[in-house]
Amino acid sequence: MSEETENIVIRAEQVTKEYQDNGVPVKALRGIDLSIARGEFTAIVGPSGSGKTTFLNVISALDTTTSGKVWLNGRLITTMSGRELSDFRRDHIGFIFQAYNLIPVLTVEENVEYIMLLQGVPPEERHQRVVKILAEVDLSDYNDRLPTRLSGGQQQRVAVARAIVARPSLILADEPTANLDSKTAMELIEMMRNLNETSGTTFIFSTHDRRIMEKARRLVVLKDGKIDEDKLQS
Amino acid sequence: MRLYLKLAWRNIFRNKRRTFIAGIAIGIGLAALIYTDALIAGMTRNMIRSATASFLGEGQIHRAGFRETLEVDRTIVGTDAVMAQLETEPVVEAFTARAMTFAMISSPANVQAVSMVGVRPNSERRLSQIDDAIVEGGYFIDDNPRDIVIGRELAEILEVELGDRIVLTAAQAGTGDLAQEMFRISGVYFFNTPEMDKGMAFVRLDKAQQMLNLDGAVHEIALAFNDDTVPRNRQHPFWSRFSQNGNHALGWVDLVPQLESVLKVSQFSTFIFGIILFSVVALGIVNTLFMSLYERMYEFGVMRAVGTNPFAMGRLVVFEAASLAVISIVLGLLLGLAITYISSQTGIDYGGIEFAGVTFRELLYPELQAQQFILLPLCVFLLTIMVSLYPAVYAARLQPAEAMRKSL
Amino acid sequence: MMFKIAFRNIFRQKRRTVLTVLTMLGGFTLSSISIAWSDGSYSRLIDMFTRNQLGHIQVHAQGYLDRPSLYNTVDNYMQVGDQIGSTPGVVAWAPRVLSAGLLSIGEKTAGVKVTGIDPEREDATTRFDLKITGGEPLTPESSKKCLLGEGLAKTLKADLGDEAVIVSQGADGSIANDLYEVIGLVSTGDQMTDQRSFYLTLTDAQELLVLEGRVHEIAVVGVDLDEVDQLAADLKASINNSELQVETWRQVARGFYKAMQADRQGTWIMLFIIVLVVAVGVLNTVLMTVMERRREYGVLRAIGTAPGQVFRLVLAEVLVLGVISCVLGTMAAFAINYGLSSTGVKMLESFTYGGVVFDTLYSEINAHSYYIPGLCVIFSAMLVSLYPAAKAARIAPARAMRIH
Repeated sequence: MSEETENIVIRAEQVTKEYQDNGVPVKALRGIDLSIARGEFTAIVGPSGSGKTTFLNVISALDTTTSGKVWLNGRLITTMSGRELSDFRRDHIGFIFQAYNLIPVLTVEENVEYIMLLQGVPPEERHQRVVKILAEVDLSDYNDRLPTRLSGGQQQRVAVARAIVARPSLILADEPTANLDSKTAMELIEMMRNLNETSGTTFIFSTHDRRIMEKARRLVVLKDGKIDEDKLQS
Repeated sequence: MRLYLKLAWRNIFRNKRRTFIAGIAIGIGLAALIYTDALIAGMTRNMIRSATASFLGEGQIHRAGFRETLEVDRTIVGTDAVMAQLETEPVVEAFTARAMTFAMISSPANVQAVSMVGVRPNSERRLSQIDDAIVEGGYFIDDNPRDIVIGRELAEILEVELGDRIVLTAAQAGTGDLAQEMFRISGVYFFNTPEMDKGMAFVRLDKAQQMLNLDGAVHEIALAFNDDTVPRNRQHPFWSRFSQNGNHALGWVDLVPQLESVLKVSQFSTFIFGIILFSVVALGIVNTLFMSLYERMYEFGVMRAVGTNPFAMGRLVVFEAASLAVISIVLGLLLGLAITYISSQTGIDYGGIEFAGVTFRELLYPELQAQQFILLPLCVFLLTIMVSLYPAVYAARLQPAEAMRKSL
Repeated sequence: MMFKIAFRNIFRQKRRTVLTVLTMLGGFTLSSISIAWSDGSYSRLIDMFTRNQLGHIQVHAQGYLDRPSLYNTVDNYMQVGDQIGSTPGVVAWAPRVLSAGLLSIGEKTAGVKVTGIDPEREDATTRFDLKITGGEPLTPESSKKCLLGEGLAKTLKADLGDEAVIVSQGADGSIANDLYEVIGLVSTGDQMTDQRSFYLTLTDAQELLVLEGRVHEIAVVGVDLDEVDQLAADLKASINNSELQVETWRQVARGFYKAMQADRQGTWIMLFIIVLVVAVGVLNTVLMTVMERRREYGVLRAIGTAPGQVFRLVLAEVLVLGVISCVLGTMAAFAINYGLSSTGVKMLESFTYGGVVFDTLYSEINAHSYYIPGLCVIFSAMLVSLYPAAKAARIAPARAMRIH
């Protein structure tokens, strides 16, 4: 049992989520049971309104559940306080959002090292890790640029770099390629998969793009707030 | 046009909090100005009253040159004729005659220099407030010619009380000889004004005339008018009519000239204060308008794309500013009137403080005036409109595509 | 890190930053000038009338200040004077005999205030020698000579060399009566005083009023007007006489002091309003900025920034703006205050307040006309920003991210 729990990064048990949208109650998640193991490269997919974003928010401690439990790295996050969750996210989860990931007034290098700074990593080590990761995402020459001077794809790569360099247990990406053209999108997902394979960091992402979906090793399909399909692919 | 007015009005309520906060800022500025204006008005009234009603009167007639030297010989020419003429004057509400000179007042304990003033109690009562300020004894109630009424501070300095005897020494008219007479204290007053409480001693006019060898003459006739404007109007025929035969008639504006000028200065500094305050407020308005612009960039872009011309866009911004101004003015008026009203009921105590030759005796009551409701809000309104031209021009110059791209 | 972000955030919306800085700057400068102006006018004035007439401190017999009486004197004044002179911090002291009387020259008579002075000491204490405008001053050797205030001389149509007769009351109850030669004219700058001033030597006055070895008042001038309270305490200790009262100028010129305090209050109220208006302006700006950057704050919170850090981020931005405004404001206010302190503004018509003549108003350069507005502006801006900062800190990451 303990070995299993050590390997399970996320466990969701009977998770439901209901919220109010302009006064109209919405049942976004209707009882989800799911386990995700270390090292997975999993896509959560489904049509609009299926609950993808909500699910990702819930399992990453960005949002609370209406009922049900969620364990992250063996810890029950549904009972943690706001401050605990904040620190937990900082240390264990990396985020890549659809857009507006980066702090507009910080350079690429400063953006990437931000979380390490929060974690208290000493300057020398921070610098080394930043240089290394920028090389891995192929943005070595861009370390002094401001986000406004980067293309959409470059911004997302910086987001990936920032997420990974803080050595989280898990990286969550909510529609990371939605704003990119298809070529850049593919490049991005390839890069993420590479990083997953070389570093062993768990990647969970949501998407509605078929070609992106194909890149995942596991596919969880949501429909109307419940899991419809859960299959492995290559 | 009406559409845009409606649109503008509704637009500012989209972000109620921002509109409210901006409205408060402007409102406070307006309220401050209203209050200050009321305060000055109240102060003006108070000072004029303090200066004139207590003893000075709203106007005085003297022999030409008397005021500069206060010589006992310089009495009014043709006293009886002048007073008879005053009786017939429609604008004059009351008048009284006085004889006055320097005198030494001494008691067993002390000696002081004072102004000795001989008065006619009955007519004096109607003009000055000394009778109302009596705290001990009475204001010449008996017929005793040796009655003297002095201020409480003077009584304390001389260490005398009601009924005690004091001696007045003064130089007579004509001969310049010193005359000394004994008087008995029949009344003590308290004016809360050092000059009056320490520096004056009142006796009966006929006694003074006798003691100073005046032969029925007087030095001063004090006047009260039933028309406020007469003393302030140097051109009024009254003044020339009574400045003849060697006499000189002056209104309070000349008797206490610093008063008028000081009040002007106060108004001026309030004006400056208002300007600067509103500059600060104006910055806030511009900021607010711009921020509400940025929020709606996309929308503005669409409006332009759909065919709204630049002028209409700019005008929309101005209309919004005007709507904001209206709300702020309402807030400001409510706030300002409330504060002024409360203050006008309780009054402000400046008691004992001297300003421009006048000592404040009564509480200061800020005065609500019509112009505060009209002139000041109008200024605020115009200011807001003027200041909105900056963001209005900006809005007018927006290109549709650029606007839609700029949106967040 | 937060500070770095805050600082750079300022440059994002240049127009907004400029307008906000201008708002705070305007408030700061206006407040600074008001305070400096008020301080400058008063301190110059106080310096003038304490140095020229009142002295910094006065010593009287108990109760004299409230009830001036011919009989309430400082006895053995030389002894008291020595004690005063030996107190450290005292620059000079001058004894005075004060009374009232009737003065006649020729056929004209006027009520006067009689002042007996020690010419040398009076010169040292109140620079009396500078006030002589005609004829000669009194000297220790002068006997039966007098000085008239300019206004008085005019009223009495007196010339130098005329004979003046004074009638007053002696301390023994007798009529005091004597003849003096007018040898000089005095102008103190205060018309009301000059209309009634009559000066004799101390010895002559004491003889006239039968006050051997007694005076009514000793004026004392110290090194520094600001140290006057300490000096008064020291004097009280060295004189060590319960029958004498030592008062600072504030008590002697009570009327003026009260008026000054009242005016100061008015200034504080005005300041309060200015700061209030500025604060509201800042609130609006900061609130709207926070609202605009909702998403950004959401991301920051998502990736692990603690609420407290976001809170500090918002406040830091306000702080930087505040400091910039105050620095710029200090420069602007300094320039204006400097100009106004050297040239001053002449009043169209001089007026009196609290019994003192205000003719030209000067500003002055002093520390607290800068740090008071500075503290007020920054503090109020920060205070007012607590609300938006709290809102920013409380932005729940998920909700902020919902992009539709």
